[in-house]
Amino acid sequence: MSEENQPGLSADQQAIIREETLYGRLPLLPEEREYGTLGANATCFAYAVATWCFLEGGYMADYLGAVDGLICLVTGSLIGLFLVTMAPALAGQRYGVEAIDYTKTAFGQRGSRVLLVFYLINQLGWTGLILVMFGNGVRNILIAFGLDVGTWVVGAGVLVGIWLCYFLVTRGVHWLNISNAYLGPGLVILVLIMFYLLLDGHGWEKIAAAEPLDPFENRWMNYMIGMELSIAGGLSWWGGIGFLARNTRTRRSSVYPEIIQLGLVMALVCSVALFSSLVIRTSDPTEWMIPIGGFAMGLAALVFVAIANISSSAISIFASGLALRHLRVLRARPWWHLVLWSLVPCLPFVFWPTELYDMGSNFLTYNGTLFAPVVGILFADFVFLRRQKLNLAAIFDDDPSSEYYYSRGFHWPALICLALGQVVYFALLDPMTYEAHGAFLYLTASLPAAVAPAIVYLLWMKLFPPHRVRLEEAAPAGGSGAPRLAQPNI
Amino acid sequence: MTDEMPTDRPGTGKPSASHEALRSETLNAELERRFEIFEHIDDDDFGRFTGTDWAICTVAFFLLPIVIAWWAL
Repeated sequence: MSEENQPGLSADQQAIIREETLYGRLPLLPEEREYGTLGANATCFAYAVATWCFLEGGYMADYLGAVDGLICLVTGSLIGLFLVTMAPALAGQRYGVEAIDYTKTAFGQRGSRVLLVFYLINQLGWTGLILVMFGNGVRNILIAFGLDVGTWVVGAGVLVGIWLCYFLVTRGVHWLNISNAYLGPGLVILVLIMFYLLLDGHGWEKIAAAEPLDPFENRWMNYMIGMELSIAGGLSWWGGIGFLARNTRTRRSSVYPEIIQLGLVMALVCSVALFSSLVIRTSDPTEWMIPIGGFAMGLAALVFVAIANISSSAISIFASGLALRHLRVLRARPWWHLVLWSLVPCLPFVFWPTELYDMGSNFLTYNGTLFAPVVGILFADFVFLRRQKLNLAAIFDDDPSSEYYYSRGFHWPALICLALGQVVYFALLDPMTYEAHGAFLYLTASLPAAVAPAIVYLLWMKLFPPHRVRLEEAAPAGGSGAPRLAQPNI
Repeated sequence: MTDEMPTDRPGTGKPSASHEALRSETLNAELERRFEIFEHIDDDDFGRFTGTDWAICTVAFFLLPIVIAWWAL
């Protein structure tokens, strides 16, 4: 790393810079980035093939059969990933900044905290669901051994999972890297074996003919719910996109691997869970593994997925802990404090595991409510308004004269458009009840919730550009000299 | 695991006023240094993403999936 060669810095200073480069917010220099084309593809692949695929495939089985479900998974995921990738990936790659910092350009220094809340809801919601899947796995393992255990075991399993996450994350990223090095390839092998056993044991005709588990009466409605789930699944990658793109060396390797691996490959893995759920008639992945794999293979798969669940959860908690460092009050706290704060919101899953687990598909759709307007506004802001040019220094400057400080740290047009996008979403589809407006059958909810605020924001910015943007447009490019921080926020 | 491995866990150092001051001063200087570097890096060093790339992505990952989804319905 470049800072290791800096003369005149003490060992403590070198350590501070190194830590902030690896885990913090310093913009990454090109030579510090880990991923070329191959590395970006491999990392995105490892992210894509994770236990949340089993959940998403299971949710799809409630509404759609194998063929419709596969089409929705692939097309919806690609659409979602396209929307969520283009602006954050190109901005994160060019300037080396992480996701929340990048959002300050459109939402303001303080306004970006709204997106921090969205991000934490997303990460911790997924963590809770995966921990319940871990608890379900533990219960089904015990049942497979003939033990008659109640549902309390699931809550107890979640509690054990929380403790394991705390243990793993506070021990450092080294342990996470070791576990992921084995779990990623293992999950790929597991999915391939399960798919082979599924085809061998039941045949494609039976899979294709299987009816959805709990559909609405209207097939069109089921199809659009499937599309919505897939688009929302793609949008829920929002936080991860920034992290990955920031670590890539070229623009193309920040975009193509993310869309292809996280969109296409993940959809294909989800489809194995979809097919299994349809044939065994349960959307809970921990219930179809033994019926498909047989006792020994199914049990081994359950144990392996349970371990993988802890690893996936630990990664989310790790990311949440890092995100909490954006809050000034937590910035200097010890790492274990941040991990603990990240795990506290998961506690409801200990007490109401089944109830919350059953709301998993609603949570997935809710991700669309949160992130569709965000990606629309960021796309309009970065691509059309700023023409892919950002003021890097202003991202790290809390001074009121800074370009991204706007009105007391809030960029109200973006925040109002964000609220507008959510209103549009709710008007088209209630993510909790799936009550839908007629237009939802033609438009989905995520797409209008992304496009409408983007257009309004763009018009607003064209008609009433922020003061600093007006100055930049009037001044010749490159004439401002070296940037200087008045009130650094790092 | 000990504090001899500061990069394995973020924020493992004991928070103190002097450490905070050192951290703040070091990071501010480092930020300024990085701004300078970013200003002088040629845009092409970050790789190119041309109009053709935009067209491929928009068609293959957005328009085509929409068409396929409608066709399948």
